[in-house]
Amino acid sequence: MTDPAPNKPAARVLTIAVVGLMIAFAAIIAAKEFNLVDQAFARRGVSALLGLLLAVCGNYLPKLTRQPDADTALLGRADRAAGRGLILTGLAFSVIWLAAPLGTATAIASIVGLLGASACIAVWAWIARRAEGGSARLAITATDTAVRAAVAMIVLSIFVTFGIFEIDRIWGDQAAQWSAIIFSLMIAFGGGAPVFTTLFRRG
Amino acid sequence: MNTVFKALSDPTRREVLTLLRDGPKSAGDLSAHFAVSKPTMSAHFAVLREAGLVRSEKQGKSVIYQLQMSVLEDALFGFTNMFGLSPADATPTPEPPQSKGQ
Repeated sequence: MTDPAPNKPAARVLTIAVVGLMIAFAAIIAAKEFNLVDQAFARRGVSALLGLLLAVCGNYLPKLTRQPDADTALLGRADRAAGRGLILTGLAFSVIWLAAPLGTATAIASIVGLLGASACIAVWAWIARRAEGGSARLAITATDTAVRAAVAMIVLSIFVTFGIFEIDRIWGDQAAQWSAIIFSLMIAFGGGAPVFTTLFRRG
Repeated sequence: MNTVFKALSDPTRREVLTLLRDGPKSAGDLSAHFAVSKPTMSAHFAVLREAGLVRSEKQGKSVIYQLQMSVLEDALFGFTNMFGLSPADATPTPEPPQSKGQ
């Protein structure tokens, strides 16, 4: 009666969605390189897809549940609240990039994304910390929930990307490039995971 | 997606999902809320599991069910509750066909 791999179907759909969006990213960038689309179109397209990726992750977050225990109801509520917020943030980010004039989109989209994602992460952490039980279950990067860890890293990466967009707008291209290198190294060497795990682990 | 619509179309199954919002519950606890037979409840649980709206785990002798809905499925659940039959209007689901030996 026990489901052998409870997260498998959701993980499969999520993987297909993420890979599909990655292919779309690559297609837009390739189209720009071959001068099939202009710089503005490519920028709008990639940014809109980034928002969509955040929305997809938010949608599936509550489905990637933990093992049943006394805290599941509360943690499920945290996931649902964060998921809804991430969907709204992602869609708002995409709509701004698709509909607003390029200058306005550049100015406000990243701020909307940063504020929205920050609020979601704060709500998520606040509700999750109220839950009782083992800390391993509360860490969204717990080893028994590898898909959750992957989603957490994607959300963190998008959050960082919003930040890099904003750095680019305020301090220019060079500062943004250095930030991107530093963040990439942090994630590559696993720096992001412990920070994220600590953030969501019970205090 | 068809399986999700099918699962959400039945008021008893929607009521099960509502009960699971408070946290994981055993099959026995859930069945106690409905005046239907065990095989019928099992059929409902199977539909919900097949749609991926709940997951089950065996703990000792009981099977524990836990909500597992995405945000969009949750929204769809809200819509069906709002515009469909309310759980209070739930009519008994027809019994699954009995095997000949019984």
